[in-house]
Amino acid sequence: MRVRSEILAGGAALVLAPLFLSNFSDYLLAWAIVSAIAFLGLTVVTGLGGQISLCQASFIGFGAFFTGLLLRHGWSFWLAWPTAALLAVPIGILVGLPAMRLRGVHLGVATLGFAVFFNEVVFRWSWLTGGSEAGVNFERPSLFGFDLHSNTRYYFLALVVFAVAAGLTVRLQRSVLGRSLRAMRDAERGAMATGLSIERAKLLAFSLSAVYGAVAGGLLGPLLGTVVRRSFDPIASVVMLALVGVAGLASVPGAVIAGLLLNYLPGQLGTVAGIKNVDLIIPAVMLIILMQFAPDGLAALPRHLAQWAGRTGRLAPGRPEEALP
Amino acid sequence: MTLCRTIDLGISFGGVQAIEALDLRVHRGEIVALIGPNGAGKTTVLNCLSGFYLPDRGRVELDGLNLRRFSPARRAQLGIGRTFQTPQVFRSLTVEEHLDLAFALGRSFLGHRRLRRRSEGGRPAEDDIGRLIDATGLAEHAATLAGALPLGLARRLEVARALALAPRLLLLDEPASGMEEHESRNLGELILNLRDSPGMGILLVEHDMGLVGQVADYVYVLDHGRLLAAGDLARVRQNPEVIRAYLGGEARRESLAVG
Repeated sequence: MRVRSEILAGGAALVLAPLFLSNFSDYLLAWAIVSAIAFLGLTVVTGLGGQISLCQASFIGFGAFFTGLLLRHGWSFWLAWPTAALLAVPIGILVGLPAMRLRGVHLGVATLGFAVFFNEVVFRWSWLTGGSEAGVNFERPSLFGFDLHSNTRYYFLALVVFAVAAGLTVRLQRSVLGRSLRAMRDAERGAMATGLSIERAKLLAFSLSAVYGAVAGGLLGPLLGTVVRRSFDPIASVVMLALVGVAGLASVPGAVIAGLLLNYLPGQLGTVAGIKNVDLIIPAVMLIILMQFAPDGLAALPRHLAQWAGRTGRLAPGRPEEALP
Repeated sequence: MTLCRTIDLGISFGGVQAIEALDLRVHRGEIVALIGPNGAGKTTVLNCLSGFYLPDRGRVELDGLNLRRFSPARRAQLGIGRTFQTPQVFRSLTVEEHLDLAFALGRSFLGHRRLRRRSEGGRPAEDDIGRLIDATGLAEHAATLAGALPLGLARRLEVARALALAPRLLLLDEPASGMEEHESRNLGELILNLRDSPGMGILLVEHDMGLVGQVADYVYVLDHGRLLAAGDLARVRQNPEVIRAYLGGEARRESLAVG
């Protein structure tokens, strides 16, 4: 079970990381993990279901703003956040409706239309956002008296939520819905002839992706302290899909890697090396590299390396660790 | 007893009449072949029956039920199984997972659960899947990803997947194309065995006259969307109109000869 040990190692790394990282790095890592939750939504709708979705950032924005709205009305965070996540279901269904008729690029354009609509209309509604272009402010919550204000503690909250979301995603992959989505992605007509209601499958996939996005959004507000409309513009959604496509679309590790590429790496490079626009440069460079060397995404890179090493005869195939110095 | 019929069926694409006033019947326990030259409209008939095309005129009935309102998925759940000329298998699922999914959809929200016929409720046992895999000759490949199957086996998998729906009507679209002669004969035996399934009818679109001769009880000949002849193979082969449609040139006489 090589795969399982890889996942264990990855999980252990995520749990132990704060021991070795600065406070600022914990903050970036928490951000990356919150994004990874949203990326899991793309894992479902695009990775499993093959439906192009270019409004994942809008779902995050919805989750963040709606949680903020309920908080302003005096709700507890622990009630406001799940409510916003549940309300994302009808939003996801709405976005999924064009998928009944559209495929591929056309569907991409339609979902991008939603992203524009959310950014230009919905996220300007003052009843939702409080009416300030300066953004919505959040405070970090405590749980049963346990204070989650520090970056490290908030990181662990995000990590727990991510672990639950990832577990559900893995279960989903093996469920009837997961297999139905893969069947639909592989051969839509074959899936219809097998009795699959592709309408129901698509709407379920989109509403699940919306819930993942809104769950991430609810966590994002208190993490960042302030949330602005611009963070959820259509370009953010496009970058998200590109990144997760590069990192590995149909896998949980792919979502983590995408989160790290989106929020951790640029933060580190930006502050340490002073490089600007890294969030746009990284996906472009990664895409070029990966198209060349790992067409299945970063998550499949170890396998590719092992195969490549096996072919060249320097490492035993499948057991690369033995030959390492 | 009539299982499925088309009544005055007609459909056109951009002004081209693909099927015209077609009346066709499939009885229970019967294997019916639909033959004709390329472009005769054979696959179009299958698409009208399975709901992938909506006809402009006429209708399709299954056990007397007008299917007009039913989507392909609902027709599948009602008991119309089909295969495709180019197999539409799920490359990332194994052979076993295909059948498992087909069974599971029959009792899932994702598969129009409410439309299930009550008579065949209950969970399919593991051995139902095993029996189907054996019957279609896929036993050695149960754990193989469909994307890795050669064409002949992918076609068998499509047949197995369709059978997992416990269909009343099975539609086979050129199952023997691209197959070696002995493969096609094996396939013929498989199809003949299927006739034993109680109450099922089979409609077969096929160019391979060897296979048609081997299995078909009744043959419809289609040309330019119109019915040219119907009857048993030996009879329709004598029909001068059929010969003319098929020939076009002397060289094609072979295509009508039993292989």
